[in-house]
Amino acid sequence: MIRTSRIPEGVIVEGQIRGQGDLVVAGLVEGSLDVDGLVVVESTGQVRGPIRARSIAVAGSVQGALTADETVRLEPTARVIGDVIAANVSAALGAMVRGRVRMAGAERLDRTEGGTVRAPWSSTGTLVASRTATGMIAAPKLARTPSPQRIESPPVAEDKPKRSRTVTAPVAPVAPVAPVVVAPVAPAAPVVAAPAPVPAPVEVAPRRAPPAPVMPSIGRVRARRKDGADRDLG
Amino acid sequence: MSESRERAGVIGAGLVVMGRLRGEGDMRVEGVLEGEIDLDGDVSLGATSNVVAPVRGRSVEIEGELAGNVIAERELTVRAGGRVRGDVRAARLAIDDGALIDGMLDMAFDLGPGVAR
Repeated sequence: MIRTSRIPEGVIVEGQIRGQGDLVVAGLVEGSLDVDGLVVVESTGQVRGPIRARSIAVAGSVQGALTADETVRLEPTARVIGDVIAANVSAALGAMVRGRVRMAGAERLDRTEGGTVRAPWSSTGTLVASRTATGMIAAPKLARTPSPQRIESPPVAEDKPKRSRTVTAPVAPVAPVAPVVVAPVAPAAPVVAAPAPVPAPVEVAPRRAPPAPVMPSIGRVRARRKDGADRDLG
Repeated sequence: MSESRERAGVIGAGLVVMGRLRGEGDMRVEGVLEGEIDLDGDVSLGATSNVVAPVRGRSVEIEGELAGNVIAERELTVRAGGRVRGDVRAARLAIDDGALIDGMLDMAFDLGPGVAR
């Protein structure tokens, strides 16, 4: 009994393929593949549709999602447009992918270390200080002028769990050396930064009136009179 | 790369960098870095590294843990044990067995003419 099916080069399948056994595609499949074995898309093979299988190996091109229970292997000639979801995904140098990659264990990245800075080596608190990554980036002189407070501050932050420093937006586009005025001061000692002492009373600027029209031949007085009122235009 | 590696900068295990790493030259990170890496050179994140930063470099190799987007002008290699959470843009890409990636991959290429048909 042959359990391995093969779509040879030159053959086009339009429609969905599903069932048991392994499948080798060297031709063109326009439609979905759903088998319980191994799917191999050879370098001449092209699949236009989603593939679901136990394991998938791609050396040709696929336009559609790859979903495998076990592994997805992308050979150097692989071209994939679509999401890749499998317990294990590996790609050889040269493989090209556009799409989302999700592997089993990736959720561990969410829960534990990913995005979290561990501090196993005693550097107390420095890492759990409630600063944002972008705030750090905005401090161009940080390395050169480490403020002494930064070293003193850890005890404050020590109660917090050390591994809980999560950066929610590593994606954040990093502004080039942000606001010139604020940046050098604010991030220098963000941990101890007491709330700004007393907000200076905001001075209300006097309402500005347009300058009185000056007409050479008429003059100020006449211009004011024309207005109908005798308020001071000065 | 081998001859340039001797001059490559290193952030050793146990070192913590909060801030931005930029300029020219190769860097290897074994410690913790939070901020940004933007280098005209090869970036290598070692097995003990823990980086929370967007990373841009010529060639980027990841054996440690990275949370952040990656732009590799030449190639990105994620070794076994490497974990990447973030979106990836690279000219070439290699993902070894045992590596973990969670994010979008974006690479510039065309499918063969057959599929486009």
